[in-house]
Amino acid sequence: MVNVFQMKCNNCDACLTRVGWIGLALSVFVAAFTIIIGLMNNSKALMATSLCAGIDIVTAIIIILGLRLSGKSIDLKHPYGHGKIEYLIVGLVSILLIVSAIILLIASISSIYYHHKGPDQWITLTAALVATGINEIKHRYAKCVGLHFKSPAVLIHAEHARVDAVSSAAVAGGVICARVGLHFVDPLIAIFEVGHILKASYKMLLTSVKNLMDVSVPKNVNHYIREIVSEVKGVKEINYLKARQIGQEIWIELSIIIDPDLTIIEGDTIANNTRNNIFNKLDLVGNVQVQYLATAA
Amino acid sequence: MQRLHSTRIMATPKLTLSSASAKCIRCANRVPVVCLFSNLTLALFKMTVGWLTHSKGLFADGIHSFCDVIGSAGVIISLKISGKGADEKYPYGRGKIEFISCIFVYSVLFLVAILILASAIKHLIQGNLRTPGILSLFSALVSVFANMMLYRLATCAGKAMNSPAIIADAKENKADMLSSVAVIVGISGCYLGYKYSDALAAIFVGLIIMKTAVTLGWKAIQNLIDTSIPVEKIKLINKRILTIEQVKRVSYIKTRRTGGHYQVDVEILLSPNLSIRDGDEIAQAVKYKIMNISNKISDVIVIKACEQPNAKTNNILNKKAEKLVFSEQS
Repeated sequence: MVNVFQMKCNNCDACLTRVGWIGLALSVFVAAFTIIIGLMNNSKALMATSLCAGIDIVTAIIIILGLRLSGKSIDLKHPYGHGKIEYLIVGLVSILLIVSAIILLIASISSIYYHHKGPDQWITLTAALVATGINEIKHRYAKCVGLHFKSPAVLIHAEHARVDAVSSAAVAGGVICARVGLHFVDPLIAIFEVGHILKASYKMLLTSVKNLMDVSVPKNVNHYIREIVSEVKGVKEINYLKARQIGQEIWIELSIIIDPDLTIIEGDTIANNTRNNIFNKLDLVGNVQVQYLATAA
Repeated sequence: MQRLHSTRIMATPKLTLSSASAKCIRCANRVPVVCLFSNLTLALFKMTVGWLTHSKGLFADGIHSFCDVIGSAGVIISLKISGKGADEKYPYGRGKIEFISCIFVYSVLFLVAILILASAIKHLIQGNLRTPGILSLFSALVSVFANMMLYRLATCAGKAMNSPAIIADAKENKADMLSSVAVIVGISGCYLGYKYSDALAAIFVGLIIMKTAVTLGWKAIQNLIDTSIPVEKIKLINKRILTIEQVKRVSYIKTRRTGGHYQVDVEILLSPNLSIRDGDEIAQAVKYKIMNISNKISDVIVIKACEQPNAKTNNILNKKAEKLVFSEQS
């Protein structure tokens, strides 16, 4: 792929609102395009691609709505913000991915039974290659946005696009193999592909469930936060540190032990320093709640 | 199916009120288990008979009972997982698994309800209506009586223990009973010559399942994304905190559910010249005041602070917290 897809632009914020719409437009295009050519040439593999693109449309709509909801700020009813909606999206999309994997499996098994040889296989090949290209572009674009914002929902969107790209590449490979005479290769590739998708979606489903259950941030991040906190002047000990991921942000709840003879205003200063230190040294922190105590309760 | 949120309280052996007799306590602790197994038996029974006698209504009713079973089983499994408590990996405990299993169960239920509706409507349109066997009528009657007994058992235990959870359980059994009554009406209608009435009963039961799935699934989603408890309860917490004189103002109250329990975070503003040691004592007092409001509150974190008009301008927490303050500060 050309380097064009790795380029960074200046205005990332625009990309975050754009990524869902671009995904939607491309999926609609791929779905329409592959279903027409698939029907014209009676190619089961292309129709499966089109079905997956159909599921992609649903994904894109979910992403658009979800990002809009999760972007809303904190309010009286949602004191911890709306970020967790992103993980709900991830769970939903990964289930949709499993569905598309099953569709692919059914299509490939049925193609073992009915040895369909399309009358005009070159057009199938071209269509599959175009679908591969478009999905790959979508994948790279979404991945760029997702990594920049550390948005789990956009990242799963990217992963979904990659799965689609690989599956349409598999269709193209199958057509080539069929032309050489190896008819059994196409379904075999598809079955292999199903395994790949299932593994990817299982991993994402697990991420979603873990984060909805308030799993702690990775050990190294936890350790890093502890380091930052223990460097602050006046902090005698860390009573506890709870850090979890809410959507794109890390939310931290901290309890520190300080000298019991200090006054509240001095304690406040220490707490504020701790808070500011964390905000300065760590990216994408949503909130830091600091409790200071004289002795561990 | 309110049980999904309530069994937790019954499963933890906290039912030791002095007013109720030991016999009642034993009975109340047994109610969820009794309900689970009777519903399982009823579900299998109704589904089998419904299938054999071609009664769509009875089959749908069987699935309705089965929903309760899956719900209770889900609670038991998630209780086992959440019972592991908090550790390094899950600092807030594993209680939220309950909501996730809820969402999973209700999504499946929703799909099942759609299938029931689709099949019933298909039969109505095609006119492919068979009068169910007489056995189905008796099975529905058995179901009505069994559910009535479960209802009376749960109401008695719930009233003796004054437990809203068990009373909710009882209401669930009452709903099951009404659904079986609808099936009886449907099957009798068939015998009176209205051949479509069994399919209509199936549609009615399907709609009930759908409604339950949507309401309870939505509730679970709300809890998963950390929605606050109702504003009235927050106002009550606010009022209780302000009964302590040394607390000048409450700057925010944040609540969320982890499993069957609430977690509460509050920030109180104290006099700036107080020592941390004294501040801790006030914070403890605040904590007990809040814990006393309900046994559903599992943890209260009290943050001490003081009014600092200038220093906190770059503090993101406070900027966000402004939106959490309600107008009624007294």
